[in-house]
Amino acid sequence: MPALPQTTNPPELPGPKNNASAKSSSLWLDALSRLVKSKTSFIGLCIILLLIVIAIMAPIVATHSPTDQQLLNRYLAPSAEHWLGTDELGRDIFSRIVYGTRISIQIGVIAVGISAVIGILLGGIAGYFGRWIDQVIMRIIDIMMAFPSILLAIALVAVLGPSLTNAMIAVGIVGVPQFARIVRSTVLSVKETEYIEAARAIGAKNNRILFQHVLPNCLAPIIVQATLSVGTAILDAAGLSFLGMGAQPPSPEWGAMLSDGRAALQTAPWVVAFPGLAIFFVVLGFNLFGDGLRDALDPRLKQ
Amino acid sequence: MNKKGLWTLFGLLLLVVLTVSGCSNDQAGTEEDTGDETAEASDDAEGSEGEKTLVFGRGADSVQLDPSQITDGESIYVTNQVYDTLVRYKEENTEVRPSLATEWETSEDGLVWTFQLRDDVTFHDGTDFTAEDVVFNFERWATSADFIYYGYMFGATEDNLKGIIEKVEATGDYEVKFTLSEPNAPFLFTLAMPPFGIASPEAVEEHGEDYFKNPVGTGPFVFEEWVKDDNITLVKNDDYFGEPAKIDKVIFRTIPDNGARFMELQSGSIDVMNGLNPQDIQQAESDENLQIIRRPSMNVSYMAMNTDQDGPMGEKEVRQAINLAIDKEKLLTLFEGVGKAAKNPMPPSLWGYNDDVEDYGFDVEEAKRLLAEAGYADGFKVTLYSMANPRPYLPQPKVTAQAIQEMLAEVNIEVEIVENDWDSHLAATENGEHDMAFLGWTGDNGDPDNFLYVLLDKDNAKLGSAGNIAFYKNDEVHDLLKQAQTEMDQDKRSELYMQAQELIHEDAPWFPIAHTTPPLAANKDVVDYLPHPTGSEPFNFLDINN
Repeated sequence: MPALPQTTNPPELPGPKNNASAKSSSLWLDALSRLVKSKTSFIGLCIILLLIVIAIMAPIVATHSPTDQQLLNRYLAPSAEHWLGTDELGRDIFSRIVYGTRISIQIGVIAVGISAVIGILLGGIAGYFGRWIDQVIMRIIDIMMAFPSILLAIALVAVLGPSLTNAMIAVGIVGVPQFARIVRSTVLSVKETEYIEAARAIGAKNNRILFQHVLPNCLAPIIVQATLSVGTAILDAAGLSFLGMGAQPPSPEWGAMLSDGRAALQTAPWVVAFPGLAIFFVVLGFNLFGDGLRDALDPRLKQ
Repeated sequence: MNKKGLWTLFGLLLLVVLTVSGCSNDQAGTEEDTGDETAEASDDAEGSEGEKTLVFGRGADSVQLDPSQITDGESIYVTNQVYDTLVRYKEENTEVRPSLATEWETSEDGLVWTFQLRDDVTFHDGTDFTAEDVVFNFERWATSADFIYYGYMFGATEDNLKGIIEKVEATGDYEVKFTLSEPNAPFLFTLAMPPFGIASPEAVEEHGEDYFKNPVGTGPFVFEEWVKDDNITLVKNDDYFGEPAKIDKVIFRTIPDNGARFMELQSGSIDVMNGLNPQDIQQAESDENLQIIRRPSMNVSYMAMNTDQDGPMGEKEVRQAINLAIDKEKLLTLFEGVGKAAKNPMPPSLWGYNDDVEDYGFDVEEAKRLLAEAGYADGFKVTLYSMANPRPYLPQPKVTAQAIQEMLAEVNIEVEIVENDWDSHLAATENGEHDMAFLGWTGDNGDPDNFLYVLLDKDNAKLGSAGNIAFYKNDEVHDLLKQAQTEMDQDKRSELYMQAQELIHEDAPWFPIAHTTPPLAANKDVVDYLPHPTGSEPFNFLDINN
């Protein structure tokens, strides 16, 4: 992950603002106003904000330590003392879920960061240069897409060894094709526009055109894809942890909590129900928000 | 697009529901396929000929079906049905009764044993059983260190593959004579152990390396099919010389998850299961279709510490500190009443148990003091190898590992849990890859030798086939155990074993965990299921009511 900041070339991102005429800034403003008006995306946004607040404030929000075991208080039903009950080792489920938020956000951001960086680079190069580079890159992407995502992630973790970091890397790599395809198709249309021709006409180099002019104008679909991917990434990582290939004990990762609690599915359903619900709401939040973003950024939907 | 949002929501809901019930569904899904087939098969059969099939659900598959090459209970469960030993245990205890041998006598010095054999026995492949076949088997086991139990029980080593059995001769068609190099008190009881089941020489030669997949014995059931990690099917041996089986077919099914296995029992797709989750016992008891069968306790679960290293585990003080730092009483709550705290490496139900040994008790301060004394006040990192599959002596390995992880964190010992499937766990620990590791032992012959010598003698601390996975090497203990093997007087032997337990307690190569009364759950229609203390029982006595 240290590779993340180096490969992205952040200076290119301000691109749209540089040639920010009144028109382009109003595109983003329009989008924002549409986003806020949409109820579903607003709910999604609220969930995400709540999640971030909880993650930051975890020590304050949590009522107990997430790893403190009280073996004499195992499988307690939800009560005033333990809001969401206790698990198979007498740990407070509410506190574990609260701390688990941090892990989930971390997974979401890092895994999608990996997918985005690699995907944008590959997609941008494939779309911009075309010909055999395009062929090679996209066939590799096709091969990756031929695997069910969780299977590919499992295979990667099997090679790398089970740990949360490796699970994030695996989920990140699995998400690459999505970004690569979207960026490639957007680049294909953007590179035919007049301002790109103009840039080429004044003798700009390929690198400069790609990173300063083409990619910044592909930002909208990338943002949408990134938001939607966060949900999927969290879900996939939870799946890996469920299978024992992600977060290792005693980490309060939600998928691992599901897996540990399933022995008591019949006698103490709250042990699995609440981490399950937590995953549900987070994924729901990112998906609602992502959908809203897509609608807001789609110029064809402009009234 | 709002509609799409709704659909997304619905899809997500589905996804989460699937995740929540995820794994058990996955497993149930694949298992059910086979389950349905077997159920159908047995239904059809019952309809036409009244065929009875027993489906036995368990947590892990057998490692091999050649009993002489394995030590794990899951393999023995199956081979106990396929093979006979010269003598067998009685149905409820570890006294012996005639089996392939009808009578036996021993010379006064205890060195020569003569067995009279049955003359009416045929192997499943149709060949006749004679004294030569017994000789063939014993000579085969003395050809390589791969025959692990032979080494454990008869003291065979790389240099002396025969161990204490100097000679095995056929002195007649149906008479076989053993000459030992030194007296061996548990000898007769050892011969009743399932690992010494007599295999058909023809089949062994025919299959060679693959024999472990094609077992041929004389037992009450004939091996039919093995689908790795799924099921093993046995059918009734119509020509069995002993009590003929009352059921026609036995299917051992591997269902790794305790909860999923219990659900299958409730739904009727399996008839008997072991490895019941402790918290499911009550539910099984209140279910009018189910019964709980409690196996008499003759086992021990433990956390071995790899003493054979320069690091912290090599230090006696550190191992004692670990014993002090774990609150055993609390840990035992994870057994939900099926386990009693262990302080010795052998169960209290055996003679020779030293009840005067006082357990370390729970004392964090003393533990810290000992760690500081050994120079590890700041703690250290260790691995704890744990099996993914539940074992009869350790029903919840994962949770137990996490509890120990947390308790040792109190004294600054950082535990990394390494979880492996049952057979890889065995391979890894026998190979000494661990710092600490969970394992347990169910007694095979009701003799203390079978616990102390197998699990803690330096003879069995060989990398690759270790029974002593603490790699504990104490010459004093070794001398006591060897002396006890050759001593024929039980009171004197008992005294020697008690001394050995004192020494072992002091050196603390283990953190002994528990002795359990492993519960099996079965459908009420299964009758006369006699759970044997050794952990597996032949199925020719039980029956299924229709």
